[in-house]
Amino acid sequence: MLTTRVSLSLALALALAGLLPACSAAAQPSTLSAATEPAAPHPPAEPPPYPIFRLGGFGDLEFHSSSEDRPGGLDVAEIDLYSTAQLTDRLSALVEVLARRDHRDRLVTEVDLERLFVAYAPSDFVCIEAGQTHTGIVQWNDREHRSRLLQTPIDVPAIARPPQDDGAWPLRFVGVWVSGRVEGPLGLKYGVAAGYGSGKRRDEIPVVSGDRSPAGLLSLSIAPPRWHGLELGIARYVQRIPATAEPLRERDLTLSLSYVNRGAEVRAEYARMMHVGIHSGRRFRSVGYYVLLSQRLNGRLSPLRPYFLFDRLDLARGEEYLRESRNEDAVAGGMRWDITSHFTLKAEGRSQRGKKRDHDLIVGLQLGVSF
Amino acid sequence: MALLTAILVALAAISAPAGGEHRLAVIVGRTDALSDISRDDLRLIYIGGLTRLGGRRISPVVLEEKAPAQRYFLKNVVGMGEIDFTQAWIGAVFNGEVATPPHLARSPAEACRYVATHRNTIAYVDAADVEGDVKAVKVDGKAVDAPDYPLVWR
Repeated sequence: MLTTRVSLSLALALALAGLLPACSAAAQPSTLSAATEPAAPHPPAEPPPYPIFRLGGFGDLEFHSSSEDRPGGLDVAEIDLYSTAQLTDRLSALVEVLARRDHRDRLVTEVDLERLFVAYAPSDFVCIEAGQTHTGIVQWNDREHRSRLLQTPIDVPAIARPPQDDGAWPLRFVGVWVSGRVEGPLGLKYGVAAGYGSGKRRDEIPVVSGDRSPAGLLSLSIAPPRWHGLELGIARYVQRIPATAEPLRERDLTLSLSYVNRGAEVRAEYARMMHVGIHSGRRFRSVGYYVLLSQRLNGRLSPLRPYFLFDRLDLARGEEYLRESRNEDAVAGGMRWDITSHFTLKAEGRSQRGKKRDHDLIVGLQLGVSF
Repeated sequence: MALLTAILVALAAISAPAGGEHRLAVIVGRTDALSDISRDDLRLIYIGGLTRLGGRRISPVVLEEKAPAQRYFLKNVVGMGEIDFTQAWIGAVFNGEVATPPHLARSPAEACRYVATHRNTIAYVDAADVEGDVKAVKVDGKAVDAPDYPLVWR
C-alpha cells in the first residue's frame, strides 16, 4: 500500500522558507563558523550583522533485519531541512520541513511541516514563540525533534513517536509558547503554552475549522549549575479533543531526568496520558517510560558511544482514538560511531514486542548526517 | 656567598610556577564592561544556555580542537568532548535556541583579534597568548594571575 501525503501547511512553510534567503552565510560546512574577516590592527568594534540566515538539515537512512517474516533492507529514509533567521537582536524565525519514506509496515511517503514559528526573546528570562512548534510534553521530542543524528540510539522511544509514526502523545501544536530561564542556584526553566493540539486525526492540527482542540502546557525544570549536566523536569498538558466517538478531555503528566556530563548520558522519562470521555466519563489511562544509558569512550575510542535503551508503552485498552498506536516493550543495545561530528553510524540489536511473536529480534543500522 | 646564591636559586625554583603550568585566560574586548564571570555562567554561555550578560547578547568564540586550551576548556569547564560539544551546538541552532554556533578562531591570536574587533564576544586562550585590545576577566572573582585562579593546567 502506498500512501503519499503532503501537508497543506507545507505551502506556507515553503513560502516562508523562500523568504529566508540562502545566502552564503547560510551554508553550514561546519558547526563552528570559521573566521571570514581579514585582520585589522585597530578597527572599530562592529555591532552584530543582522539579519543572520542559516540553512541546515539532517538526513538518515535505516536498514533493518527482523526475525519476523517481513522484508529486511532499507526501511526508513528521511531528510529534515530547516532554516533560521535572526532578524534582530530579539526577533527570530524558524521553519522546518521533513520528507520521509517509511517501508516498515507499509510504504509511506510524506512531506510534512514540523515547525514554523516566530520568536521574540528580549532576554534569557522570557522567549515568546508563536506558530507551530512542539508541545514540550515529552522532553525527548522537545530536545531532539526529528533529527536522528542528535539522538544516541537508532529508534525514538515509544512515547516520543510522532503521530504520523503511530505515536500516541500529542507532540505538536499551534499557538503561543512562553519559556525562559530564571537566574539562580536552581537553574529553573519554565514553559507555558496555549493553543490548539491534535484534532480528530492525531496527525493534523485544525486551527480554523470547528474541530479545533484547545490545549495548554506548563513545564518546569531545574538544572542546578552546581551539578553540571543534571536536569529534572515535570510537565503537564491539557487538551480537549473532538474525537469521532465522543469528545475527550486529555490530561498528561511527564517526569523527566537527564544527566549529560563528561561523556556520560542518562535520560529517563515517565509519561502518563489520561483520556476521559466528556459524555460517558470513560477513562483511558496510557503509561510509557524509557531509560537510556550511554557512555562515550575515552582516548582514541572517543568516537564510540555504547548504549542501552529500555522502552515501554502500555496503551489504554479499547481506546478508539489511539487505535493506530501500538504498545512497546523493547530492550536495545548498540554502538554509536561518530565518524565526524556531522556523520554518524549506529549499529543496534533490539528485542521488542512483535506482531506475531512475543519478541521480535531486530538488527538495525543507521547512517545519519547533518549539513 | 655561593651558599646564599644556591639557597636563593632553590627558593626561586620552588616559588616560581611549576614548569608547564598554563592558565586559561577568559578574554573580552578591552572596553567591555564585563570584568568578572562565574564558571557556571561561562559554561552556560558555551552550551547555548545563556545568551545575554548584563542585558547584552554575548557571542562565544572557540579555538580549534587541537589547541590545548580548547581541550582543557571543554573537559574542565563545559564537561564535554569535542564531538558532543559540536553536536550540542548543532542541536541548539536546530532548536532555534541560538542563531549561530560559536565563532571558530584558528589560533589564539585570531581569537584575541576577533574579540578585540567585535562587541559582546568572549573567548579563552592560554594566558601567555593574550595580545591586543583585549582584557582577561576574573573567573569566580579570581584574577588570572592569582595563586588560586581556577582555570590552570599543566
